[in-house]
Amino acid sequence: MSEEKDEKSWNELWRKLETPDPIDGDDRARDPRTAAATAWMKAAWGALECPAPPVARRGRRLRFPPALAAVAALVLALLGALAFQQGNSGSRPPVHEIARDLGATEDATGTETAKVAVGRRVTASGEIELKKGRLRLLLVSPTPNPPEDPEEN
Amino acid sequence: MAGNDENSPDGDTLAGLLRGEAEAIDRWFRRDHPRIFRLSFGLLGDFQEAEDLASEAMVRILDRLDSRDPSRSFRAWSNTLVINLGRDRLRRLKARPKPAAMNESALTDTLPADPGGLEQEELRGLIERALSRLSTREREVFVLRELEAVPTGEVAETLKITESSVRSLLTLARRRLRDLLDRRLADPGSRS
Repeated sequence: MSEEKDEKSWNELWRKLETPDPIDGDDRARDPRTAAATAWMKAAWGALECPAPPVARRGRRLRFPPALAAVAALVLALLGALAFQQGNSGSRPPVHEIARDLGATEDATGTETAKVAVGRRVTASGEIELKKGRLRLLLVSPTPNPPEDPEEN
Repeated sequence: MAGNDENSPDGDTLAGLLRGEAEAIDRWFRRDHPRIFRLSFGLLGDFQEAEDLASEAMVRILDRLDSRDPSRSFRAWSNTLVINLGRDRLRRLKARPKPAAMNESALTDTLPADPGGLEQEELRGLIERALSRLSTREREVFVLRELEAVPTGEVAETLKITESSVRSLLTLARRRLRDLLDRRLADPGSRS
């Protein structure tokens, strides 16, 4: 009996408990602090500058690989032709003479690729230049700036 | 929700996008990139990541355009795509250790009453830190509803939750930001 009474009083107490307003109401009208914080965020958001649309960047990403592939194909073709020529020749002059014929300079920072008779040097701008006869090939690095015309060097 | 609402690209642009015309794509990028970038930034709280997400999302939107339900709002549909991509990216970002600067307790200064006078970098940092105090859901709702002024019904459609949930999450987000910003906004104009 006493237990039942206790339960009733607990129920009454529970029902008297004050509940907060539903949280889906708009606090801003009731609370100026909330309104001020929200207004500040909106002002900050409105002042935010967006970057330019990145169309150019997509184009740049797509542009380089074909150029790289073309350069690689040229190098392979050149090396293959030279290897073929070397295999067919009976007597060959010494390596240092070939290098001299190609115009490989004494101050070149790179090493001559003597076995395939290709002059090789690193240019001042860090690019790799390959030379064979009148053919000069510049290996460019994938940077946004185009390389200088090798014919002007 | 009407498909041809004022927030949708015009008919010519949409048709051009579907045909993959460069001019239409360029026009659409200039028109919608700021909105998609802002949403990305609001979701991730990281300017660089937001740039990547916005680009990825724009491409994804173009890719999915032909399978879009035309009866659905273009903005709600595209925002849903951005949010889904943003959640994926957020999960990956959370798996990475944060830079030390991100862990610092920030917002210690008094904030200017007018944030428009702040340097962009400072402004981004403040927004990032404020939004980082919100849960993912709160942030999505706050950015869409409060900052981007998307109607409650459209936010609910975008996030696939009820309008009541939108209002609840919005209220919670506002309270959190109030608790964070209130003391710092106590003296408007005091910051030099």
